Amino acid sequence: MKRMTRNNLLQVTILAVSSLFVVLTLIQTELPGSGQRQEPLEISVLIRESDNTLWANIRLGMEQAAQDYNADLRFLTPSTTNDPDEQLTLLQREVLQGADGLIVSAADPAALHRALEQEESPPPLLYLDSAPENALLLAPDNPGIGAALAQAMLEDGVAGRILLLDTSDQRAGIAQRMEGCRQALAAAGYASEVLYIEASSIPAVLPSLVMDEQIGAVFAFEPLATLKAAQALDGIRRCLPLYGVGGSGALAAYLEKGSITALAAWNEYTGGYLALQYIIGAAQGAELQQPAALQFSVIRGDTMYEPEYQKLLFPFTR
Amino acid sequence: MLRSLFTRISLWYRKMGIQMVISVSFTVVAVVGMVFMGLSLFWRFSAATEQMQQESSQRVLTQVNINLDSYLRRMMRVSDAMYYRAIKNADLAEDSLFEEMALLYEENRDSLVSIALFDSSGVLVSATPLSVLKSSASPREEDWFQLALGRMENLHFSSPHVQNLFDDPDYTFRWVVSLSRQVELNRAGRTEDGVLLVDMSFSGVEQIFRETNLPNGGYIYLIDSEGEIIYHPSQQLIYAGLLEENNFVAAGYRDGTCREEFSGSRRQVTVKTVGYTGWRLVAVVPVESIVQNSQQIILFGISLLFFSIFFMSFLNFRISGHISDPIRQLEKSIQELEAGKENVEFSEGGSYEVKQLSRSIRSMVSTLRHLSDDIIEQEKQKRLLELSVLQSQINPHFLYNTLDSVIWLTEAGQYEEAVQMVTSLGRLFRIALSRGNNIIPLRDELEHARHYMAIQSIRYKNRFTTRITADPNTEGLYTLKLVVQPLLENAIYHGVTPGEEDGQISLHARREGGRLLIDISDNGPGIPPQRVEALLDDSRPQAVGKGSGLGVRNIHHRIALTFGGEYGLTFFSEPDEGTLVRITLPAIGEEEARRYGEENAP
Repeated sequence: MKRMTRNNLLQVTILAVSSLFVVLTLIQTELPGSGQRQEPLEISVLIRESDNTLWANIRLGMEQAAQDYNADLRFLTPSTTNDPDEQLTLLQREVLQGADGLIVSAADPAALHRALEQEESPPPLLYLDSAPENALLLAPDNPGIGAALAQAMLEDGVAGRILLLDTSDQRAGIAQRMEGCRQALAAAGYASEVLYIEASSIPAVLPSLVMDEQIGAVFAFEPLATLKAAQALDGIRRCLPLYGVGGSGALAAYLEKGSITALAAWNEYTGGYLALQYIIGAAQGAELQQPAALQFSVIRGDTMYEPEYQKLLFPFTR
Repeated sequence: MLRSLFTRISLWYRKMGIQMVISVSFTVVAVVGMVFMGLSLFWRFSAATEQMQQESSQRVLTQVNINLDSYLRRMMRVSDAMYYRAIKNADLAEDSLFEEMALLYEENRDSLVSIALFDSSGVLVSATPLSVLKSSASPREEDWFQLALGRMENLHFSSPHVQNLFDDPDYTFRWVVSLSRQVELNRAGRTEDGVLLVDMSFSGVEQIFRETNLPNGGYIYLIDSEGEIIYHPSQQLIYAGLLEENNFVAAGYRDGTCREEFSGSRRQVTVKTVGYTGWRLVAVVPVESIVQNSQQIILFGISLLFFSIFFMSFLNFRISGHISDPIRQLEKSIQELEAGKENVEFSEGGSYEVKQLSRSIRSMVSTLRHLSDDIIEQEKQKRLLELSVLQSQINPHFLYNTLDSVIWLTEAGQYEEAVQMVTSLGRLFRIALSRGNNIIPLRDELEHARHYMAIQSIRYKNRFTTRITADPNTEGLYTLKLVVQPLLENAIYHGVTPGEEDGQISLHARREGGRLLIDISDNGPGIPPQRVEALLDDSRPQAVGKGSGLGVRNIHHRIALTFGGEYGLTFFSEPDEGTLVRITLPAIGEEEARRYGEENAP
C-alpha cells in the first residue's frame, strides 16, 4: 500500500512537471525577460578636436555598430583641440560614470594611459591613430601612409624642397606617418624640412612659408592639419601641391577643387564601425587582440568619383 | 543486434503482467499514433509557414514595387513634363527653359536633386537649382549621357552615385539616381539631340524601403539588371566591406521564390522585377528564422508529447488495472485453491467475460469439491467394509473350532471344562461386540485375550502355558479391538511345536513415551527370515496355511488405516528361539479413543 502510494506520488509529480513544462513552452515568449534585449552597453568616444566635422564618417560607422550591437554611444568633444588635461578629465568622468568601453583619439596617449592605469578597474580602451606601446590601437598602417603619400608626390614629379607639417605633438601614430614619408622621400633623393606646428596655427603660418619658391610640396599627416593646410593654400595665388590624410567630405571638397593633390584615406565609416564592434567585444569579455590595420588608398581629385572611392569618401547619410 | 533486441523485448513482454501488457500496448499504440499525427501536422504546418512566408514576401514586394513604380513614374512624369511641355515647345535660340525647369523642381524638390538639359556635346543648356558646372565635370563622359544618346527610345535609370556635376558652394555631396533620356532641341528651327537629366535624391528611394519590414529578420534590397546594389538596408556596410550580399547571383534569378545558400546560411529569396528600369527587388528571409519559430513549436510539441505519454501511461495504467484486477484476483483465488486452501472466495467483479469466467471456475471448483467428497466418502465406506470383512474373517473360524471343542468336552463328560469354555466364549463375544466400538480399553482386549487363551488351552489340553501381563502405566489406555487374538492364534498354531508340552506364549503390554507396545512371544521354532520379510509385504502372496496367516497382514492394515502408517506390527524371529510380534499403537486415552472411533464409524 505504501509502495503504491509512492508510485502514485511519483506519477503525479511527473505529470505535474511535464504539464508545467508544456505551459512554459506555450507561454515562453510571454515570460518576463524573454525577447527583451539586454541593457545596452555604454561606450564613450573621446576625440581630441573641438570641431567634430572631420569625424562625421567615423561617427556614422560607430552609430551603425551601436545600433547593430545594442550600445549607447556618447561622443565627447573637448572645448579645446589637443588639450590633454581636458581630455583626461573627460575620460576620468566617463570611467566614474561607469562607461563599459572607451574609444579615444588621444591628444597625449601616454599620459592618458598612465592615468587610466591608476583606475581600479578601468574599462577596455581602444586608441585611434596613436597609442602607447602595447595598448590597443585601431589605425591604418601609419608608416605606410607616409610612404604612399611620398610615392604620390614622386609620381607627380614635384621638384623643390618638401615641407612636412609635424602636428604630432605626443601622438606617435602621426609621427610614424611623417617618418615614413620622410624616409621615402630621402630614399628618392628629396630633402625635406619638418615644421613643428599646431594644426590650428597652420592657416596663419603656412601662407607666408610657401611664398618661398623653393618649397615644392607640403605634406600634412592628419585630417585637421590637412584641412587647415588646404584652407591656407586655397587662399594663396601659388598652386602648391598638398598631400594629406583624411576622408571627410570637407577634405573631399578641397580634393575636388585641387587644393589637395592627393589624400591618403581609409574608409572612416568602416573604421568607426570596427572600433565600436571591437570595444563592445572587449566590454563583453572577448579576448583582446591587437586589431588589424585599416586598409587605405591614395585618392586624387580626378579619381575621387570612381565608384570605389565614392563609397569610401561619401557614406550614405540617413 | 535487432534480433537480440527483439528477443529481449519478447522475453520482457512474456514476463509482464496483464495490466502492464494492456498499459504498455495502449500507450505504445497511442504514442505511435500521436507521433505520426504530430509529424504530419508539423510537416503541414512547416509547409504552410513557408508558404505564408513566401506569400508575405510577395505581398511586401508587390507593395514596394507599387511604391517604387509610383516614385519612378513621378520622376518620369517630371521628365516627360519637362520634355513635352517645355523643351519641345521652346526655341532655345530665343527661349529660356529655366522658369519651367525651376517650377518643376519646386513641385518635386522633396525627391529631386537637380534637373539639367545638355546638348549633344555635353554643354549645359539649362539646369536647376544649381546652374554652374564644375570645372572638372565632363557630362559627355558619364554613363547616363552615353546611354541616353545610345538608346534614344528609352528612359535610363542609373545606379546610385554621388552627383558631381554642379559647383556647389556648400560642397554638398549627394547620392542620386539619374534618370536620363534623349530629347530633341529646337534652336532657330534646327533640331538637334540633347540629353535631359533628372537626378533623383537617393533618399527618396531609401524612403520607400525604410518603412518596409519583412518578418523573421527578413529584408529587401534593390539591384539593377547587372546586380549592382541600388538600395540595401546595410548598403554602407556592404560598401565598407563589412558585409556581403549575394546580389550578383540574385540578378540571375527568375521572378518568384527560391532558396539559396549564402555565407553559410540558407535563405528564402523572392525576386520581382520592377517595370521600366529592369531593376530587381529581392526579398531575403533567413530560413533559420522561419525554422526558429518552428523550433518553438517543436519544443512545445515535444513537451506536449511527453506530457501526453505520461498522462496516457497514467490513465492506461489505471484503466488496465481496472480491467485486470478481477482477473488477477481470480488468479490469486486459483493459486490459493492450488495451495489447498478451503473456502476460497471468487470475486464477481470486472467485465462480463471475467464475471462469466469467475462463475465458471466457481462452478467447476464446486463440482470438484463434490466429486472429491464423494470419493472420500466412498473410500471411507470401502475402508469400513474392509474392516468389517477383516472382523468377519476372524469370528466364524474361531467359533466353529470352539463349539467343536465344547461338543467334544460335553461328549467326553468334561462338563466343567465345557462350561468354562462356553463361559469364556461368551465373555469373548461380549468383548468382541463391545457395543459396536472399534477401539476398546486395553484391559478389555487383554481380557479378551485371556478368555481366548483359556478356550484354546482347553482345546489343546494344556500343551502350552500362557502368561498375559501389562505394566501399570498402561492403565486407561485404549487399543484397536481384536488385534491381539489373531496373533495369539498364530502363536498357538506356529509357535507351539506339535507334540511337545512345553510351549510358552506370553503377552506383555507396556508404554513407551506416546506409544503402547504389546509384545506377543512364543518359544516355538521361529520363522525363517525370508518369510518374516514376506509377512507384511502386500506385493508378495499371502501364506496359506493353518492359523491366521491372512490375519497378520489384515491386523497390520487395520492399525495403519486407523492410526497411520507409523503404527502396525513388527516381527522379531530367531530360528529355534521363537518369535516375538510387537503391536505398536498410539498411547491414547478415552477421549482420543472416542474421536478415533467417531472418525472410523460407518
